[in-house]
This record gives sequence, structure tokens and C-alpha cells, in this order.
Amino acid sequence: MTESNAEVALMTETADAALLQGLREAPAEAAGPFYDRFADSLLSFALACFPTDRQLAEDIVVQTFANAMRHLRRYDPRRASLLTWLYAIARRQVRDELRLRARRKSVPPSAQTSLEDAASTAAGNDVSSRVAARVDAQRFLARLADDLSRVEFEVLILHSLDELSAKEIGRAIGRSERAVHSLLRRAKAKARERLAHDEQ
Amino acid sequence: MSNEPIEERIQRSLAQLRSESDRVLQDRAVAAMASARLAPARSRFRWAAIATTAVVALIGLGFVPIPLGSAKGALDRALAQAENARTVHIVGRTLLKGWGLGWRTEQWLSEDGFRCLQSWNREGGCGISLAVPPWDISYGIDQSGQGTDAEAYYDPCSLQPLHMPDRAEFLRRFEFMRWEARTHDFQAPDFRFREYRKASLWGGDVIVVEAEMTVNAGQSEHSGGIYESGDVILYEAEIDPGTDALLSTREFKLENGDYRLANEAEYEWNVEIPEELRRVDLPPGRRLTRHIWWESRADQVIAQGHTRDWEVTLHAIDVNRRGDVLLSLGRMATPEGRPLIFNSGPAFRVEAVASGGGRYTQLHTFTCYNARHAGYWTTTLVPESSASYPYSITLTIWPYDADPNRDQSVTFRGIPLPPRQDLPENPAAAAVEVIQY
Repeated sequence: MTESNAEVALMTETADAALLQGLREAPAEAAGPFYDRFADSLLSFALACFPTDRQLAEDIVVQTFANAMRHLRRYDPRRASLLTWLYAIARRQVRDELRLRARRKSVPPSAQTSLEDAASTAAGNDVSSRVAARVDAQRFLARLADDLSRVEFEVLILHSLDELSAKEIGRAIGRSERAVHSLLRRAKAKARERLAHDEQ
Repeated sequence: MSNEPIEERIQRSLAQLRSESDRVLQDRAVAAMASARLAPARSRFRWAAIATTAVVALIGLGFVPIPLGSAKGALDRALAQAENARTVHIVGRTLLKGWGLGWRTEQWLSEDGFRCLQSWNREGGCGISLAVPPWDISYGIDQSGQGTDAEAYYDPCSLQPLHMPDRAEFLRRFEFMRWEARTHDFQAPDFRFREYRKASLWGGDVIVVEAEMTVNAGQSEHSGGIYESGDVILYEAEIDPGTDALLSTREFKLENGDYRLANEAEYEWNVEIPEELRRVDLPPGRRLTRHIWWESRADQVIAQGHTRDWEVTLHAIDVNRRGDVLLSLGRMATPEGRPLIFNSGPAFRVEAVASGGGRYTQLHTFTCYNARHAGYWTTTLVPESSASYPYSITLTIWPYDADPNRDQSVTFRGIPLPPRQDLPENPAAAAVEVIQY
């Protein structure tokens, strides 16, 4: 870690400690700053996991904050940063949702909305370029999720979103630091193939 | 932050999706935090207190919960009746938003392992899950009545002896919820049972068993988003006093002082199952993909051992060109473990050392099949150093990683490694045959 990174890490740690103290002593006042500090990261993670379902991604963010508040006593800053802990909670929400969906796996594809439908709906519309860019982003993330195993995908997203170390990612997903390195290496190799394929 | 193209692309894509600022989301999140009650601190006296309270409450209500004792409530008798049933036909529907509003299900189960579950959504599409042991087949019918492509999985679990009450899952629900709380170390549900008779609309009486609970934080976390902490849920079962058969079940959620019907189901026991339900007729042009990994492996035994609760079998071992080792593992509850365990799907945990001393990292856990007392999994071990070509491997296996008794493991020493071969990243998922209709 460079010196400036170390300084940033220390500042983050100090800010998180103050936030945590605020949440424990005056939760009503601290909830807003808590949301502001982490909402973007959590929403990004949830959107990466469910790129075509913003409503569900938002539900996961809301539930993650609520669960974090409920279990604040369990959080131990010596074990992981607040962000890592929140990612672990969000990941559990995502996994639960995927399990729920797996139970409904026999829903025919025709009962679901496809990205192609969304793209064709967008074509010719005033906001078509914005919608097309969003559909492109959704399609890219959905294909990436298909190409990678679930845990590889999670590691790659966590790595790309924030400056989480392999150790912190390991804490969030329940794997060793070494396993995270292996997973990240494989995930990147597959993702590069996907990128090269998309750019052809 | 690294500037690798792939990371940039991910960041750009997520920024695109995240772009709309959402004040409503902030309001919702802050409100959810405000209403989230802090979970109580853990106490070493908690379990004793909960157990004592539960026993006192249940005795007070005259309800003796599962496992079956000498004094039997109506639900216990319904469970005993289900033990002897040949078939059951269950028709249900869901009526609450957020729980799958508008879904209707029809399910046929028989003691030979057959199951046909049809789930209809509001738009008229239907998903069909068909178990004709050892195959588990799923396909759909779209709104226009056209069949979709089908997937068939060779599921060794379906060959295990069946337990009808497990399959009509309502009868095991309360026992399962208590077991889940024990296993995942959260507060047990506070069921408040009540049993009474009422006049049936069809003449005579029915016995009604009610169980009400207030959802706690642990249950909420493990409910897959169905229950919120603080929700009051009421289960209701109607039982025939003459035959002890479970007739119907309902689940209500308390909202603004009213019990709103969330889902309901009707049960018919020992009915004839229409023969045509056992057939899969796909229209021309559709494909049936058969997943065959376990078909050639379920009967193989490379090594076997047992813990107190589990019999563990190493069914197959495969090695890819990189030296990654893929294990195909099975677990079966021992007679001692059976009363204690619902197999809800925790993975195997494996530690491995090669003949040369090199260690492995357990990386992936792939396709699995789970039944109540059995589970079949594949898992990948990656060598920490790929320089050596070991000839054997020693495996220490924890068959049920979520078990609070984590000391239960088996060790298989000196298992010969087969030659390396070309394998896809997830060979179990890639092992398919496609039949074109």
C-alpha cells in the first residue's frame, strides 16, 4: 500500500468509527450519513447481481441497511471494515433471493422480460440512447454473470467496486485470502475473454 | 483503483445502471433502519430460557410437538396418517403481494418417488417440475400453450426411500423451523398453538390446529425475504377427525389488525395419479438436455467412512490438466443423525494434502442434489503449487459444514489420483446429452 493509500485507509477507518459510534448512540441522526456513505457501493453490488431488476436491487439495499442496524452489536471492527461487513450482509440477501428464484426455476422463459425486448422497446424512443446504454450495461453484466461462477462473479465485482483487499473480500464471501486470489485470477481471465468477444 | 479494461467496463456499466439518483430509496432505507429493532445481545442462558419457556407453553396448551410422543395432538396424528399414505394431491394458491401473488400450484406425490409440480403464474405461463426417479425434469408451457425446452437431471437423491410427510411439507414445518433455528444459532420460533373443533361446511366436524408466531430477526434473515422481523404469521390446518388426514392448510399475515390470507392449499390423500402426468411430450423443435454427471458416478464407491451423523462416500475423483481435483461426494444421514437433521443444503468442506506434501485450496462447490437425509455434491480442489504431479491425495471431509458439531469429519488417506484429462471448468454442469425433438 502506498503512503497516500495508507492515509486514506486511516481516514476511512476513523470516519467509520465515528459513524459506528453515532449509530449506536443516536441511530436516528446517524442513519442518513450511514446511508450516504455506503448506498452507492451497495446499490452497485446489488445491481451487478440483478442488472435487469432495479426494484429488487433497491429492496436488497434497504434490507441490508435494516439488517445491519438490527445486528449492529455483532459487528466487530477488528474483523472487517464496515463496508466489508455490509457487503457480507448484502451478499446473503442476494443469495437468498437467488435460492428463492431457483425454487421457481421452472417458470418458462416466456414469462420473463428479456433484454432483447427491452432493447427493442427502447429503439426509436426519445430516450433511446440512454436506454440503449443501460440495456448494454445490463446485457454485459448478465453475460459476465453467465460466464463466471457465482463466487468468481462476486469477487470480481467486489474487487472492481471498491478498494477492498483480498483479505477483506475473503471476509465478505467466507473464503481464504489465497482462494480470493485464485478466484480473482480466474474471473479476470474469463472476463477478458468476454470483453474481447463483445468487442469483436 | 486499478485501471484494467475489465474493471473499467464493470464500473462504467454499474455507473450507467446506478445513474438515476433516488431520493425514495434513501427515505426507504432510513425508515427501514429506524424501524429495525436492535437484536438482543447473546446470552449463554438464552437457550435454556427459550427451551424452558417453549416446553412450559406447549404443555400448557396441551400440545405435544413432534417428535411423536405418547400423547398425540391432531397434527401428530395427521403426520402418522401421512406416514402410511400412498399418494397425495395438493392444490394451492398464493394471494399476497411479495409472496408470489397470483401463483397457483398443483402437486402430485407418490410413495414410489414420483412428483409432478405445476406452477402457474398470473399471465398463464406454467412451469412443470417432474420427478420420475432417478430423473428430475423441468420444462414450461408458455401463455400460448406451447411447450418449452426441457432440462432433465440425474438425481441420486430421488432413489432414497421416500418419506411422505416430508413431501407434504406442512406437516414438518414446525419441526423444521425449530431445527433451522438450532442449526443456524438464532432464536427459536415462539409458536403459540391452539387446537379446536368446528363444524365443517360439508357436514360433521373438522379439527383446526392453529400455530401463530412473531417472526424474530434470525427467522427473517433465513426466510429468503418472505418474512420481516416482527411479522405475525398464523398457520392453520384442518384435519379430518375420522381419518386423521390433513385436509387443508392456510397461512395468514397480520396486517393492520387483520389476518390476510397469504396462501392456501387443499390435500387429497391416496388418490389415483393420472398416468399421463408421468410422460414428457415435448413439441417438435424443442430440446431435452439430460444432465448425466451422476448417472455414471452414483453407484461408484472409491472410499467410505462415517461420522456420528453422516455416512460419507467418495464416489469419483477427476483431475484436469492444471492438476485441479474434482471430487464427487455423497452424504447419507446415519440412523443416529436422522431424527436430528433436515438437509437444507450446506456444502461439504474439504482439506486435502497431496502425496508430496502439497496442499490444496477448496475453490468451488458445484452442482448438488439434496434430499432430507442425503446429499450429492461436487467440489474443486486447486493445488497451491502446480509444479508437482502427486500420485495420491489425503482428504479430510466435513460432510455438513453448517452443523454446530463441526468436529464431525472423516479422513480418506492415500486415495490414488487418476491421470490428468481435459475437463471443462465445471465438468458436472458440462456433462450433458441433448435430445432434439
